[in-house]
Amino acid sequence: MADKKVHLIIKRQENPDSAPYWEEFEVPHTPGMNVISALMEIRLNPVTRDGKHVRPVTWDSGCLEEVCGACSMRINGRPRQSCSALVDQLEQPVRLEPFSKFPVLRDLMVDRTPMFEALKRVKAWVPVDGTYAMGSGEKIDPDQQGTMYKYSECMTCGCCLEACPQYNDKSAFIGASAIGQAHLFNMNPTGKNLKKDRLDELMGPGGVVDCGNAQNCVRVCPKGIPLTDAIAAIGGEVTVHAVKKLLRL
Amino acid sequence: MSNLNYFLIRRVHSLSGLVPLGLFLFAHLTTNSMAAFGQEAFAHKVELIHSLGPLLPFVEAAMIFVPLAIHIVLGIFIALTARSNTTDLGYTRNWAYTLQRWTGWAALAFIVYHTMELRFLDEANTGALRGMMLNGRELTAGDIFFIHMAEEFQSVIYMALYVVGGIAVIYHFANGLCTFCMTWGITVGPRSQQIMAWIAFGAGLALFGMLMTSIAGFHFRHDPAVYQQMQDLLNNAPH
Repeated sequence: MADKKVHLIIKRQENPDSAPYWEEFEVPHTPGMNVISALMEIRLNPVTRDGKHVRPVTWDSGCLEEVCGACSMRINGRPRQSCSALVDQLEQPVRLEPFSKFPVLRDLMVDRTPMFEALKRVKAWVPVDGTYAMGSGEKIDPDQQGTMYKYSECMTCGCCLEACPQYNDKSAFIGASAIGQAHLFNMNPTGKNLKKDRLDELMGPGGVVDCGNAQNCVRVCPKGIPLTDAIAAIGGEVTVHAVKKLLRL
Repeated sequence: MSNLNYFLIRRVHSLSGLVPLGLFLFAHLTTNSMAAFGQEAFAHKVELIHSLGPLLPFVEAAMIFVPLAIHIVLGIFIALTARSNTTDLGYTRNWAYTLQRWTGWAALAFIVYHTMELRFLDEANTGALRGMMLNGRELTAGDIFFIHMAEEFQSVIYMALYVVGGIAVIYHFANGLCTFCMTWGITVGPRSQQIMAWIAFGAGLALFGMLMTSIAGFHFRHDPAVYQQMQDLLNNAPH
């Protein structure tokens, strides 16, 4: 077992403006290791497969238990969390790339700011800030809570956007995660006060109408969030909202 | 552009594909399938359409050309915003998405060729034949088209072109039916979307059957003698 190795091919990039390049590594295999532990092995001994000493690989991570969304990367072409990607379940060589739909900061680390900007666009929050106490909110039916809980698991990891053929530099599409969050906060009894604003935003360029129904988002979501349900539901609500607007012009 | 305008434009694209274009596709292939029953059956069906008389160009424009032009122009803008990624993510719906765009381009090329050839060029060339007598039958637009198409469909290349072009249009419509229901929030969950996919598959299969019936009808009901007689008439006709 001691000589079992893990072969990794990693797309690297010095800084946001430099050109990317590929490097191959071979690290000792340890039972139950994940992609992050393989990257930590490289950090211990940053030598490529052909014996060249290089700068250690940079990546982003936080919780290491698939709830923070920071360690997203493309693993063998598939967007996913590197903490929950077990090496034994991956085909070798393991190909690691940073997300292509976000600005690369260094190596496998990307800037997910566009996702948080998208959440601001759809006002993905419950409006309770004010100058006086507003009291407790309305109670939510347990069934509704169950539906909402699934959407609340979104960790802004970006897998849905990386996988989406319609989320790219040629399109303004806001992507599945923000639509899912808009749907979540529309379901909240207090959050629904902003429903009109959210539907207005999702009606325009880059909104829900720019979805191409490829449904990759729901297939790659690490949390199994029913994103396509949210897209279809919002699509229907936006239609009603638009008709109402038209009739009130 | 205001949010509402953008929304309406996208919804017009979505709706126009189903009504009237999808409806027209069904009607068009129903008419053409009549070719399997011979020249008279086909000509009779075409006469029903031509009975609209002076209204026909307006109906054609409102039901076909205008919605088609809108669907094409908006569709090109939509297709240009895609970055297909089926190599890494080979899921069925991801392929359906990519194919929707490919068949859109193919259907565009086919429809432009098909319309130019038959609706405009041929109509202009054979219009002179209308009302003339051939084998004791007064030639109507349907008769002329039938005889002409039967001759055209003797060519394997021509048949292949119509099979490929027809499949592109039918796939684009059938998949469009599924995405229409998702886009408008009719099928929200995966189960209803799956059922809709089967319904659309059935509709696509029916259309494909009609396409093949039409092509086979023209091909096998061909009479070279009648075609030659029509050519002679055409050559002697005053232009």
